[in-house]
Amino acid sequence: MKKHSLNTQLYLTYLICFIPLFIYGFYKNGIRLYYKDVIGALEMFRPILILVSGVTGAILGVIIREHKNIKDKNFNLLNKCKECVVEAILTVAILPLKTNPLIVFAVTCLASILLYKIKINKMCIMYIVIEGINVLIGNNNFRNPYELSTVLNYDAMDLFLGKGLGGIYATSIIFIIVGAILLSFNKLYKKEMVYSSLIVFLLSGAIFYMIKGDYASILPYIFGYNVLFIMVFISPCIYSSCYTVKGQILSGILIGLMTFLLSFITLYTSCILAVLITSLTKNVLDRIFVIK
Amino acid sequence: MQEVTIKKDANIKLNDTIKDFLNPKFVFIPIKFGFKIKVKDDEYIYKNDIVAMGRNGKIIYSGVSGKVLGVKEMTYFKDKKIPSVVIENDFKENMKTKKSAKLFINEYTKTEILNLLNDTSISYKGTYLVDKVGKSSDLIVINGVEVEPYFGNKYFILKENMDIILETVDILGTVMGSKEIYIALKNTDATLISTLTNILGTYPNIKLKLVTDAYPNGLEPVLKKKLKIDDAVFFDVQEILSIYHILKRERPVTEQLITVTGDGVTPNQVLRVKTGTLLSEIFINNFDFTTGGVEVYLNGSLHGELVKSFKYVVDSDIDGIFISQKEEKKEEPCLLCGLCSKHCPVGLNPKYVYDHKGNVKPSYKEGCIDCGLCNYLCPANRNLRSSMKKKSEETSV
Ligand code: SF4
Ligand code: SF4
Repeated sequence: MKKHSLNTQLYLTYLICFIPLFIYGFYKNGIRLYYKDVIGALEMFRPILILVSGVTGAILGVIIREHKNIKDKNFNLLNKCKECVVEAILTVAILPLKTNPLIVFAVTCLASILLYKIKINKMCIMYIVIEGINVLIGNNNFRNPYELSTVLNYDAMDLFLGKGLGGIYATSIIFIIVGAILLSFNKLYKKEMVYSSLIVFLLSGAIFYMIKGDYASILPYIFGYNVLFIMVFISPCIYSSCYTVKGQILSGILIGLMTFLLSFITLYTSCILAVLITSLTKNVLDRIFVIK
Repeated sequence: MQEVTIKKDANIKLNDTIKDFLNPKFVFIPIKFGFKIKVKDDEYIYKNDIVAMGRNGKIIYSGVSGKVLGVKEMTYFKDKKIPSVVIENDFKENMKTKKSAKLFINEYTKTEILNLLNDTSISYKGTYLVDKVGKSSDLIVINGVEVEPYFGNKYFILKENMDIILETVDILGTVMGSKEIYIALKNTDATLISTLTNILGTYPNIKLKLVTDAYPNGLEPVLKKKLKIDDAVFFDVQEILSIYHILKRERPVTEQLITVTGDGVTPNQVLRVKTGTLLSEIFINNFDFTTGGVEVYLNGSLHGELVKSFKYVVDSDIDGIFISQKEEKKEEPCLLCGLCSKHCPVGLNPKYVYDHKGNVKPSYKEGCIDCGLCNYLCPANRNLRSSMKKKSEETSV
């Protein structure tokens, strides 16, 4: 009986979900800045340039890696590239606007060549490497030129629409939620993991700020710093997370908790670190529920 | 466990009516262990004549009239080789004696019914009906839920014989001392549901139970779970129909339905055939391949077996064949998607068993109902089902 390629469908859904995020990200970090007169016409296309760098880097990496097979009749470049391209796009989405496109190109290209068979979350590694370089060269501010030039005072709706702080294409909460709903229809999407991480993170963040009496910080905290984007799009990576349902729920809980705890040390990297740690321990987490 | 609905190919559609193929050239009668052959080579044999006798008075009858050609080892489902009496059909259906059955099937006593079932040795998928009907049970479940997505045997049996089925089931309820009888159907079988609800009023003890059109709801252990039943005797609709015919005619049942379907065959058809017909004869006379390269699955593509030929003899173990166009299926490394363990109807973890090449404690495989859902779902095309069947190291001799 013919099977429909579920993982191709999943990657396609990722791309479809990314379209509104891309449009909003380009508006927020390109068009809007140009009309606010904080950047020039060419600089307006920087978000697209970074995205294109990531995607071309990933494709070039695949071509270099597969160069021996390219002449093979059955070789399908699109099929080989789909995973790396989607991962490059999702990584670019959470990067700051200031990131150098060349660095993005180099890292995504190297990741496609070197991390091909490694079953840990490649997006986390790419992000950590690029952000590490950003920190070293002093480029790690997530505020775009407009946000740097003004005092930020957003209400809940602004944050929901995506005006808050975060990566280039990762701030629109409404489109992230739409993405989560769409992806949940794909059998390969590990929704149990996503929902449990979201619930634990939202609850712990909300309870913490409520106890502190700082109600105003609740929404900027839970809607900001790329956390929701990472939990919805990056954490449920098929090959680098638990495969048992119970393992996925436990990983989700751990991601939610670790994100909350690590956010006291580093805001933007807390969730990515939490995802990386659970990805490294996925075998142990699965085994807890497999062993009879 | 989460339910899985199989996405059906809209081009695979069964014809609206059953086609008869009741005149095979040869009929093969398996002589199971413990049975003694009662016919000689070249002897002329009438339809319903005794071919072999076993212990406990069990008898195997001939389904056709014709000449006995001898005994030949034939292949049955799961490649079982069984010596079989070969009868060359003379297409006359000559019968020696005609027993006079009772006018109404509700005139039989329990002992008479059990004797008839015993005499006719009617069995279905390895179980003698006399053993089932001989039990007492508060609840009887009639399974009208087709297991394989493209098969239609149960649908056609119910569509054509709803009155008969209910009448027989009602009698079985009395014989087996049952308080309730459930008839399980898919909630998508609208025609059957409406026909049944129109007649059900006459039978207060029979209830309609609906299950979703998910796979493998038609398999007994899964149906049991779905209906939240602890203890019941399950009958297939085919079994009920056989019981009816035995009571009505006091003769063994010699015919059965099989479905031949798939995108590799034309037409897609439910056939009424003689039990004991060779699959190749059925195929040659009724079907064509749609393309050159095909894969043939006995009993369906999900829980059936991939076979390389049509050498099999049709008996109650065979419900049909699914013929699909050949696909290039390369096994790939596991994606860790977890679909296999998430949807396993009995909560097993086939990926773990496969990764260990089947050499795991028996408890990791215990309860596998061989439904093949894990294979169907695995995007990496791993043959997980076969590793569940492998003997565990600890249990192998
Ligand atoms: S074949 Fe066995 S292991 Fe696979 S899904 Fe069915 S019951 Fe589970
Ligand atoms: S369904 Fe296949 S690919 Fe997915 S976890 Fe199971 S074995 Fe791996």
